[in-house]
Amino acid sequence: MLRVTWLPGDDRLRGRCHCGAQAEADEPVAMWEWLLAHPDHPAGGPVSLDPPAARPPAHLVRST
Amino acid sequence: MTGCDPGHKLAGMTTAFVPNQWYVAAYTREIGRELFTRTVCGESILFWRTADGAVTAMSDRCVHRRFPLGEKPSHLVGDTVVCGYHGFTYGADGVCVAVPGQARVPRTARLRTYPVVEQDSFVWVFIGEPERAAATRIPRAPWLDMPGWTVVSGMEPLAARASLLVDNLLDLSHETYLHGGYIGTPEVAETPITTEVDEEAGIVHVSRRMADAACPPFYANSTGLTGRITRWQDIEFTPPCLYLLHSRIAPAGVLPNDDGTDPDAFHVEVVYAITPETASTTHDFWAVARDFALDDQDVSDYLAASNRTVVLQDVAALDVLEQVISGEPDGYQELSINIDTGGLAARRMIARMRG
Repeated sequence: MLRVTWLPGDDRLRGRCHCGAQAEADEPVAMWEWLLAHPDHPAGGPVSLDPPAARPPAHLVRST
Repeated sequence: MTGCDPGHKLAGMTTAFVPNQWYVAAYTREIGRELFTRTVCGESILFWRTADGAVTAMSDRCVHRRFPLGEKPSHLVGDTVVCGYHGFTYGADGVCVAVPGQARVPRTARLRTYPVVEQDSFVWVFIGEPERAAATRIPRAPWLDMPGWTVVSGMEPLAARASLLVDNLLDLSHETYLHGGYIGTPEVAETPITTEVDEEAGIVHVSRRMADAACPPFYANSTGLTGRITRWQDIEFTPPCLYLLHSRIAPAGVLPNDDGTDPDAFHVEVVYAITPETASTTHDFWAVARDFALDDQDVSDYLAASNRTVVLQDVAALDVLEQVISGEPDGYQELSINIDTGGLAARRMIARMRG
């Protein structure tokens, strides 16, 4: 069982693997990446892949 | 708290079907001695009951010139289907037993048949290699056909891919915004969730427990509760297609007894069967089972109308979303936050099942 809790009053997620390994993350994508890496959970904990600050992209519409 | 997810761009979302699975094709009440067709995972399937009541499922195209067997003037004669175009006649096993003008029936004249099971008020059909059907689990929704429960149900066509409905149902925070005045209150979006993935059982659980919440009209008008409530939403999703919401409603502060009995609460089992019709359309089966006011037709009528309204609110939103997504270049990025933890887990499980 993989478990991710998000406690009241706390924006962080806490994940626990079935092997007992635990970690915290700022968002769920990094949390699942870390949990699903079992048995090789990255030692540094979950890493968010936030893109560098940039101008938000335009909303493109496919040509028909 | 926030993060872009390069791993769940549209290209990574579920747009194809998970093969070798049981899917809900219909309610049992829909299949009788009339020909009935429904497309499941892109396969047009003909359903009917034999004279002894068994449901049969076979391809909905005559092998001769592809005329749909569910289309009039095709019709049943005893336990055979007669094609309305040239009279090719098929038995319940899909084998052609008669063709016009000649005695010899070509050996290849037979329809693909599908394993089919009636369970929990649904007709389940197996899409994939038929020899794998027996060993493949059919998820259960027993409240839909169980003494002590009263059920209202329906099905709405969704002009959107099934994965959008999975996203929708795994994150109920949207109730606050899309379904305000029906099932949404501020506490739904404000309350953190706990997510569990049982990889062995193949189930995603998402739990949201509200200790002191406003009672939305959907529950106030059906239970008679007027004050603040304790509201539990425990989701149990068996990918790719069966979603259960175990909903517990009680006066604020009233909890189950230590022995597990729960006589002072109202229990509602909300069931969704998410059946892909095509890659971009979905059959949205919904049912609401309750353990109170069992014989009260007014409550049944209210819950049926209200839940259908809620489902149609989702349908309208997801239909728009499908148009937006299908009009965008591939590879756009989303942003996921804590509320998406369960939906992301479901996506990953479905992606793995798809192979």
